[in-house]
Formats: sequence, C-alpha cells, structure tokens
Amino acid sequence: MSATETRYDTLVNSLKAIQGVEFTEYEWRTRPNGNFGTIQPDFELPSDDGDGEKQDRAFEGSVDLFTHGKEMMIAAAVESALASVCGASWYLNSEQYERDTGLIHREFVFQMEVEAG
Amino acid sequence: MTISTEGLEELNKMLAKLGDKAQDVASASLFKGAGVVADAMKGAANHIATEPFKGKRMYGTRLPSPEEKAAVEGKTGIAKFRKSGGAVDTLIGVAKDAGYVQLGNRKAPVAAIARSINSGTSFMRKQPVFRRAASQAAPAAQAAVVAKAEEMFNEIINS
Repeated sequence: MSATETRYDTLVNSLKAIQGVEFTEYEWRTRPNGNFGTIQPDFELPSDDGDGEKQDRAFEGSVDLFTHGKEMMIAAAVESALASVCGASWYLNSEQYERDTGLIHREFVFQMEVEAG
Repeated sequence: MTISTEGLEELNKMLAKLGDKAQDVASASLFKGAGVVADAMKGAANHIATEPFKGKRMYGTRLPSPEEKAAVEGKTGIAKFRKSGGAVDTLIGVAKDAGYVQLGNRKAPVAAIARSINSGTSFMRKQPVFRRAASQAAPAAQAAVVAKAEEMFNEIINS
C-alpha cells in the first residue's frame, strides 16, 4: 500500500482483481451475460464535534454483487477482501433472488474512517 | 445515564420501585427513540429521486416512478410494539404486509418496491435512503431514549 493510496482505493483494487466478476465504481449498469458488481460510498456518518471541527469522520458504503448461479467462491472472495481492508466493520445487508433475471444479488455494507491527508 | 442514591436501604427501596415500572420505562423511552428514526425515514422517503415509468426495458436501469415513490412514502412508519419476555421491540420502515399498489395495469407489493429502492436491483438504481436515515438518526435516537428513561426513572424515585 503506497502512501497516497487510501484504504478505500485498496478495497476497490482488491475487488476489481477478483476473477470471474466485473466490478465497477459508482456505475449501476446491467450486464445480462455475466457476473457484475458495483462499489459505491453511500453517505457520511454522523461524527462527534470538537473545537468547532468534526472529529472521527467516517462514511458508509456498499458493495453490490450480482451473480448468475450460486457462485460461492466470488462471494467468499468479496468477503475476504472486505475483512482484510475493513476488519470487522462490514456486514451482509441483504441477499435476494431476482426471479425475472435469475440473478442473485448480495449487498455488503461497510463503514470506513476518512483518512487525514 | 446516572441515578444517584445514598445508603443500602435507600438503594433497596429504589430498586424495588424501579423493578415494577421497568417495562413501562422501556416502552415509553423506546417510543421516543423510534419516533426520531421514523421522522428521519419519512423525511428520507421524501427525497427519493424519480423518473416517469417508460415501460419494462430489456437493458439499462431506471429510477422509481413518482407513483411508486408516493406508495412507499405513504406506507413508511412504525410497526406495533411487541413485548417478548422483558424486552420491547419494534420495526421502523415499510412493513412486509404493507399491501399492494395499482400501477397502470399491474399490481406491485409496496414492500418489494421499497426494498428495490433501498438495495437496488439489476434494473433499478440503488438509493439507500432508509439505511442512511437509520444510520444518521442513530445518535439522536439514542440520546432521546436515554433522556426519556432518565426523566421517568427520576420521577419514579422521587414519587
């Protein structure tokens, strides 16, 4: 991890490196013939104020994984990427099956501190 | 939160008084906190971005239609309080049995629309408004719960 690379970048890079799935940032685009996913920072979390400044700034983001079939190995790879970058501050928020498209949608939510500098 | 007392006998009396009323205090303070989160959720549902429905498309993603938004907004609220053992709990958001809404010639379950908006699907862009409201209102809700409980405890002790 270089000095300029933030933990969020590390997460994005390690998710994009997963085999068998195409991850994009911010985009929400359907790819009917393959596994795909999106990563996005969703919103800033409330912080304590002190000395007229915000302290401990953090944000909540989500990783959405759409797969055809069970594809447990891809889900496991996403989980281990989240665990190695975010530690314990992530969870599987929802898992749903889309009857029309046959896709399984897993939604992971993570929280991350905003790094200074 | 802190409640102070002096002497073991006083403490004993105080705990006996509190024991009978603990359930009421829990319900009333949870109601306060739930109200804070419910207000935040209703405000959030108001900010869902929409676009007119142009029919089912084979590719690309869409935003919810204004009719879908209105249905979700109307059904956002607090569920009934449920008592199980010594605990009290509730749910805030759109209930699973929120019913159906007529959209053109099709009927859609309101809970499924809310879920599609909050989590996103392969055809609808995600807008995590409910998760955002819950996360951002949490500190305010906790403060409201503690303040109400403290107020009620003091009332009981001094009565």
